[in-house]
Amino acid sequence: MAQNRVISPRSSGLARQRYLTAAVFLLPATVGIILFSLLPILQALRISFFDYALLNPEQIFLGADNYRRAFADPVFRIALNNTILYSVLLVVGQTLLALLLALLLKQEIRGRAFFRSAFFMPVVTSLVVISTVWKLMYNSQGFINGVLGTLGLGAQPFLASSTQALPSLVLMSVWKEVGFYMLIFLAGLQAVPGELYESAAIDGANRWTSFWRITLPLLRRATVFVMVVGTISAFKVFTPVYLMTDGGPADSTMVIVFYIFRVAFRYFEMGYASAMSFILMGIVIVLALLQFRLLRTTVEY
Amino acid sequence: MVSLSPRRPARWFALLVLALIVLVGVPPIAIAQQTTTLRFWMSADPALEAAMDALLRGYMRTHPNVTVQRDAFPFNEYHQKLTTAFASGDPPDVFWMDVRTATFASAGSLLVLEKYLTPQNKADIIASGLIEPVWKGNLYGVPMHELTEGLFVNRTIFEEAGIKIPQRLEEAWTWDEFVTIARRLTRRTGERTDVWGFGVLRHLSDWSILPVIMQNNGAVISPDLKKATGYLNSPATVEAMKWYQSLFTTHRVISVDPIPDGFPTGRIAIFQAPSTYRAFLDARFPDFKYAVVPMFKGKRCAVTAGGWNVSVATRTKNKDLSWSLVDYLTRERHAEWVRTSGYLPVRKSLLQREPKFRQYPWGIFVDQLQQCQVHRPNTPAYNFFFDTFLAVARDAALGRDVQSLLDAAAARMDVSLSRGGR
Amino acid sequence: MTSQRPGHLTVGREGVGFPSASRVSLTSASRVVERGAVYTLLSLLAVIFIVPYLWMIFSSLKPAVEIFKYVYPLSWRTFIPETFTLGSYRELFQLVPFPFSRYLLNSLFVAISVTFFSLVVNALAAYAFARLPFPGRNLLFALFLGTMIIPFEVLAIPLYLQVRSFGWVNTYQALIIPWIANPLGIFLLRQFFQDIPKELEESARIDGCSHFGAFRHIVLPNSIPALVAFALIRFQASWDAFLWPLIAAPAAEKRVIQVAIASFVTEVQTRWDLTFAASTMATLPIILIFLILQRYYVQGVIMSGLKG
Repeated sequence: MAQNRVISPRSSGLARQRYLTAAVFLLPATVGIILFSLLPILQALRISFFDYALLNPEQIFLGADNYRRAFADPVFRIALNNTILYSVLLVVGQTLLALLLALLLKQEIRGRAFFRSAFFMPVVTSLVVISTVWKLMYNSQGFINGVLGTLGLGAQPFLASSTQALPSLVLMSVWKEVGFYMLIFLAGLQAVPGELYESAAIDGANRWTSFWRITLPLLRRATVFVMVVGTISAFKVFTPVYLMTDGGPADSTMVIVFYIFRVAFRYFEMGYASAMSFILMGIVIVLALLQFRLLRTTVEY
Repeated sequence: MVSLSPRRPARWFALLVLALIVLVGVPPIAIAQQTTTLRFWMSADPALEAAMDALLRGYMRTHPNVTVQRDAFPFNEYHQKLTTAFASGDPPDVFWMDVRTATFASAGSLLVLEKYLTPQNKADIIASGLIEPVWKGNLYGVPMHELTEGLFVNRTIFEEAGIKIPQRLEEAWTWDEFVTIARRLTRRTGERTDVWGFGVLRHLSDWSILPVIMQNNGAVISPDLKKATGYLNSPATVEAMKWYQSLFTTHRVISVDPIPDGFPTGRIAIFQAPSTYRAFLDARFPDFKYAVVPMFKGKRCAVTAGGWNVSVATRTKNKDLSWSLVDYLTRERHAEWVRTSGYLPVRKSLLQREPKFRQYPWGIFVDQLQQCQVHRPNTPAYNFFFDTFLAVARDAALGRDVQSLLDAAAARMDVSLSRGGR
Repeated sequence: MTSQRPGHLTVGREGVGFPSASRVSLTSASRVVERGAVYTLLSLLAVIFIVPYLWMIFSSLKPAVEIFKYVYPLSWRTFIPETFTLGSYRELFQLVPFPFSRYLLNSLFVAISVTFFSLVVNALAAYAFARLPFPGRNLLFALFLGTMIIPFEVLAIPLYLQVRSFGWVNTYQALIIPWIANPLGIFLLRQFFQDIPKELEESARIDGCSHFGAFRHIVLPNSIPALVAFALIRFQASWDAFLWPLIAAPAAEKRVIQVAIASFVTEVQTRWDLTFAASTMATLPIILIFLILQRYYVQGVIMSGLKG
């Protein structure tokens, strides 16, 4: 490496050089996020204080009325409850299953690459395709009921039932997402030095204790990522509801983003839809901060 | 992909910047042209797009200075696409529009076409075709065609069961006759249903169920489109919906969730579907034997009718030219469009000229179109009505109490109607 | 999760090979039983993960008449076609105004561009967040993360107006550039960069390496699994995009596969034959890419040594 840059012995020079490097490194991402995320978000934030009918250019300032309306809107409340239920079930389900799969696949077993590929495939498959195929599989005369019938079990209504529809969506989403989080855990597990287990074994720890005392603590950063990203994406669930259930039956799969979408694009109330989005954003930020705090490691966040 | 060649950072950055510039900085080169471009949007369908392209080529031949740029969007997302285009001030000039005419017209998005449509031209269009494109007495579109429904029956199943297949409107089944036949044709092995007596293509939608309500002399929204309470939950509507519910719950002749391709694969004996379904069956299931029978009837006959109209955006820079395209598609080439698309004619002249529209099976649809046609409510709140109605129908199919479902839905509709469609 | 004390474990990783729980002593009999249980569980799960794909692929090889004929009750005909046909694929290549391959290439071009630029731009930013402390770093990071949370549906129109002001409507730029900077990627890569022992970089820096040199020679090679995982996610997200391409690029020559597939749901019917064939064509290439990359990923893990 022929580097001409000389590291300055003075710390202020070092810091200045570091800031400059940081600025250069951050420039492309920052420009992109400002132009294509932040500015549209600020625009949406402005809209959330207006009565802004999508098709009508005329805008009326409402103050916080849209926000007040959301808290009084029974559908918003139902959507919020459903979203929370969906997210809790999904995040818990996919995190535990991902951890299990990662631990199983960490071992030196034959066909490891095959299993890993199989579990990861849905991650790289389009959600539109998956939703379409699973909707057909969940049909009352679909593939899954065919399997249940062959096993001598009764047919289930799945998406046509107000009690089974949401869990059915969760099941499909676990299937779709778990491979990605498995990979995160696997990569995290690779970082656990083998000697630790050896020394733990010498100390007489069984595998259960070494899992609790060595593996899990070292998987913290991975766990933080899995939980935070999992929660954020679970709260934004839209496509499966849009393609599979339309929010029903009996509003049992009405989730926030689907409701926001309807209000914005079908009922044209962009102001109200934006306000609900920022309420959603507030909730998710609080949740993410809580998770960061609960899973805090010695490294600062 | 991940390994980066050993270059100095400065050069490497330069490369990245260069790549971005190449990507960003090549604007589409504007070809100098004297021609006018009209943007034309339609709902996507491979067969219809091909048929439309043939018409548009003809238009461009007769209008050499005009280029029509046709784009198509998936049916389910078509209105949303239109909405974003209008909202961002970038709408097409000419486009397909349906029962949501009121929604877009109330926001001032659609051009009033009244002055362009000559009385003689207008007089040639059947009554059913001039309901959806009209809002508050103004005409905002010209119909391309009409669409209505009938019952498609599986010939093999009917012949085996020895049930006569009606061929004329007067022979339409009554509700009771229909239930008896549908029950007879439903076959079960234990709890598993092998054949469903009945199925519906636009499953649980307002389009499919509105006829049932209207056949019972019910209503969904007041004639002035201001209230739903007292209409959507009126005794006649509730009674009709209860009968419809009984098809799912008491009689169990129809599946709660739709069976994909259930009719042509023999899992559904009677299938309520639009007239264009014939083209689909003939093309995709050529060996399948079916017949068309009129929609069942209650106290009166009723079948939903509607279709695509062609509308023009208020913002278009070429109003007259846009109209010339509308007129070309809806009047001059109407016969060709009807022939290639498989829709029903909307012009009296064509209905009179072609004898096939008076004969079976076309005759059933055409007769229904002229004698039984009912229309979805042309209100700016149509999207809300659509979603609300679908939810009610789905919950009713699951056996929930119809009266309380309709009461709640009517109350929600009232709020939406009072907001002027939002 | 309980509160633990992990700090001291991050040192002394050099030269560690493949770690394995199996090094913990076990009697061979119980190991056989355990292996059996593990294989049974994994195989069962693998079947659940693979069967939907098989059904989709086999359905795409059936004529329209057959697709749903034998789905219920279950039989071997549910999968194996009575009549094998490539008719649906043939029809896809005869679509008007463009054959489906055109839409595939559009999606491929867009997805590869997004993935490539995304890797470069976000890895740089992630490194800055992980290793170059500067005032306001956490605030900026939180701001970036915050932008992830607003559902795209409410941003679609402001974003469209932004893109239109650049004159990008109906261009590939509109489909690529807004999706390069990605907070999720910055977050993911930052988490991994932080796990790389600082000592390595510090020794490299003492040897005269710049930050960029340390980033490229120490951090990147040690993060290949994370980079590949992120690349796949980016590729997939772009491949999966539906609403934005629908809004931003209405012209048929810029149409992407998801919009093309949605077009088979028409007013009258869903063309299931085309839907299955197109879904298969939209799914298999990306799985293939993934399987190829998987090799690199495994190699990367082994070669880098440090992380393995």
